[in-house]
Amino acid sequence: MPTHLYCLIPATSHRPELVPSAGLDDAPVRALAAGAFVAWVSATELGTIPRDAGAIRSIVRAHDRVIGGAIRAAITVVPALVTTPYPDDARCAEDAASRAPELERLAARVRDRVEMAILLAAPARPPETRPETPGAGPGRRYLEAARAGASTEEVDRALDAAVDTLSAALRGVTEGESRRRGVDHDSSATRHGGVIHAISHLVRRDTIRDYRHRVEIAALPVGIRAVVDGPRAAYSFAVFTPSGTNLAN
Amino acid sequence: MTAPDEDGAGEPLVLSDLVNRVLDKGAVVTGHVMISVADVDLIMLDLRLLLSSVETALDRTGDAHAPLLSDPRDQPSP
Repeated sequence: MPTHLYCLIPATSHRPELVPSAGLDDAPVRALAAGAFVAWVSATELGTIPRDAGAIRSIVRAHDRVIGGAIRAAITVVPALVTTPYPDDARCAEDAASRAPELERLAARVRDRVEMAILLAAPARPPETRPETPGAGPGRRYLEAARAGASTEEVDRALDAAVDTLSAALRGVTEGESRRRGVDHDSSATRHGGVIHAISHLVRRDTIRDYRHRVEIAALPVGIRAVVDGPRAAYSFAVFTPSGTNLAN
Repeated sequence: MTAPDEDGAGEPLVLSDLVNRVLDKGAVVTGHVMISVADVDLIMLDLRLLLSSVETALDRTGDAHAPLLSDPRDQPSP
């Protein structure tokens, strides 16, 4: 049966009691020896990543929940990306063991550090507040489209300003930064729909409190909502990408 | 500032970001396309293209015709 990899932990800091009891589809999570590392894995019936966005979100949620146990225990964790599962445990262990130098480098980068994320949302005007004028001619439709475009640009500018403000406010407590613009325009992402920017930082564990405080007092543009998430695994800074995971190999 | 679960609105926001960061090369591209005939909007289709994941999977299989994602226009409406 295929093997889903959650994360890799240096064998020297691994604690068996931290292995969660259940992972994807409630399958038992197991600790698999992989050279100098221990891989947290579980069996999965999925041969590849499903197409359905809802199913993907469920997988990501379960994946992050399992890794979150290690993060909360403050041990060094190299998270794995969610991708096509390995054909079996042996291929997973072989892949990780054969990439020991890369794993050592990743583990060194995240030792005593976590990722903190700030999600910035600017609720756009709900679509229903800007209906097309019934019977509007081409000229009217053009003007309405232009007005909507200008509004989007204003929102983008405000979000960019917010990101810059936070980046400056957090200087000194962050060791790495990853920005993502327009993460999701899905109306389900915010209560009213909207534009979202995300900024992630690599942060030392002993500065998390300071990090939160600086975000709290940062003067953001009016209308911008900030959500802080973390500590989470360092997905944006030190992630292991499983290779050779095609079941057909 | 709000915490992710403080008002229930942040959780989907966080999950959305996680999907993008945790999924292999993962930008989830979501959008809508309107099919119009003679200037009359007929059907709004939901596009949820996991583009990068599919591209990555195709890279690994080396098979550009692998049936990993159907034509987005085949996706069901929400």
